[in-house]
Amino acid sequence: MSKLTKFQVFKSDLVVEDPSDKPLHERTAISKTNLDGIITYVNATFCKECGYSPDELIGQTHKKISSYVQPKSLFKGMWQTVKSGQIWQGEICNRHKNGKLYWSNVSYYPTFDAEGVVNGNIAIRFKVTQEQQIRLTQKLKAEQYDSIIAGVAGFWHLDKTGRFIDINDQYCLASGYTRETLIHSPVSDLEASGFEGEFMSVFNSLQMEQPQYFETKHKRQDGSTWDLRIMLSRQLNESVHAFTWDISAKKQEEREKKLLLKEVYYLQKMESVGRLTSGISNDINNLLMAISGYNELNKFSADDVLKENVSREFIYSELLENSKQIDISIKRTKDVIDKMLLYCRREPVKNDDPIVNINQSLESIVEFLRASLPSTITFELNLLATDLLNAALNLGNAELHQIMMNLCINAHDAFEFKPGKIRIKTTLRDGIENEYCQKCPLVSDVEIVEFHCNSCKKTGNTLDISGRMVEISVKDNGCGVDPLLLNRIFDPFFTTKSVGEGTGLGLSTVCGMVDKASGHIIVSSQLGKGTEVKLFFPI
Amino acid sequence: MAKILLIDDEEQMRFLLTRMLTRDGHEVFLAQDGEEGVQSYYQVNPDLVITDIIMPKKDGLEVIAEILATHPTQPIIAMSGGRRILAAELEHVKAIGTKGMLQKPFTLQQLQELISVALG
Repeated sequence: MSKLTKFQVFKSDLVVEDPSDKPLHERTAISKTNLDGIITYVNATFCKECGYSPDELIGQTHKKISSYVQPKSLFKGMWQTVKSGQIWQGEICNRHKNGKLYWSNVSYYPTFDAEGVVNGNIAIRFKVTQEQQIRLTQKLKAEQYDSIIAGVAGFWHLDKTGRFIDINDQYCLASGYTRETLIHSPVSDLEASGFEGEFMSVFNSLQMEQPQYFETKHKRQDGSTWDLRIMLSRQLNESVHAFTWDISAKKQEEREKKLLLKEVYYLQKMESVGRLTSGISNDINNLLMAISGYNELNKFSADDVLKENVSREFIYSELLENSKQIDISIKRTKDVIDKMLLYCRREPVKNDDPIVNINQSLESIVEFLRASLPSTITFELNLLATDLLNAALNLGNAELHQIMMNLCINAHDAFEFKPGKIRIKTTLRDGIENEYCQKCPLVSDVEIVEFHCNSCKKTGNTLDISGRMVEISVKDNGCGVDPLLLNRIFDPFFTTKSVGEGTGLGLSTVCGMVDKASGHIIVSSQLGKGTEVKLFFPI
Repeated sequence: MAKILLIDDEEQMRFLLTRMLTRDGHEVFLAQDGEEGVQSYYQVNPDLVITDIIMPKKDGLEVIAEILATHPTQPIIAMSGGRRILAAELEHVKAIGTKGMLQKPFTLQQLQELISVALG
């Protein structure tokens, strides 16, 4: 209570009620705050020190001059002390209107209402000396550094051979290791299987003052693995500081997205098979028709045996020929089913099932399409991209198959049940110039808007790419695409077809696969004349 | 013993039906699509036309309509393989005077019966 008595004397006599006490007034910054933290009074020194006028401060909270460099807990503690009727003293760092920081020795005194309940505080500030300013700022920085080391990220201090000198609590907590087990052991011991050597390869390439970031997978103490992002920076004494961040959640999200995309592609593939069902069943119907027909002819020959005027040789050759035809039809039926099953397969045959010869791949795909699409659609193959023996396409056979299926089904739909021709051409290109790449607008006769290509990350109105590539062109003489819709055709779920005839995922799937293979797509179309889709794949 | 024009774009169908028809003693003329079919029709002047419906260049419905426009009493049998054979089209084929309609797969016996009816 003695403090409070002293305070009451101070408040009424010296500061607030006796502003004529000039010497003290000039040295002392005074502010008064209510319980909501709102400033209700400031003196001229306070204003001079912080750079704001009383009008700018009264009605505001102390946040107006907060430096935001000190922990919140400090101010929480101050308020607790003051509200309990005690005086709080400490060093506070504030921010001048001009942005600069300044330190003050501050004493907060509680104020009371008539009933003796705390209703606010009065703060008295004395500016600290320059020496103190430096000391306080340094201390603050050290505290901030410690808090980063302790809480925000994992931290390792490593010797020049990549062994632990020290590890922070945060890393120990997250990894399950104790500091004692890790010290003196090499970081490479922590690498998950399949990621061995990644740490040392970055560690060995470290240059002074050039921190390096990389992502890898490590083992925790319990044997589980986690994805880490690591920043390594070499210090002057050749030891290395490392910050680590747990990025398992982000990696998991990426993996899930990849799986989901795979699932979408698979569903789209199933959809395209669905679109071909009537064609495939027609094909099988024809084959069944042939099998039953030749079987019937054999029965006729059986009848012939009983007739006297038919020679044994004739009957024999008839039976033989009919059986041969049945064999052929059975084999073709099996081929159709095998091809469909191969196409429907969820996983490629091998891990990546790479394309060895693009022309051969296209031939077998077109064979399947011929059987699956109505016979009113004819195919013309012009495979000029020869000499591709060592060409490595970043695209699997199964993917090419799905791409071609989608493009040809679109062509089929563009024929609107009329007979039509699909021309498939491959060409070896040495760079592309002045082509309209797109997922996006383009039609040669129509004014071109700027395009943005997801694959080449280029914006402009023509595509110029250097390097050898193979061009696959799929051209139909169907109904064409409305130029106004052309920049939307690659959007997922965009479709001009009615419900049940297509999900609008065909071209977006094509686009995704072409992107993955670092390829490009160019579409040109004219209403009533046809559409040409050109795919470019670097080799 | 009749002259029969067989129009079908499926090679295996042409092959099978030719074997059956020649076996039964008919003279068979072949066409691979509708356009060729109409051309051959005027050259061959057959007793009976057997045509597929879905074909490149000119489909069976067009072939039938063109032939019946100049030869309204020409016996014609139409064949179709499951797809796109809507009830309305069947009606249409009958309405324009086709003598018979077969849906694949059919038996050769069914075809033989239709042929004998069509040739009267």
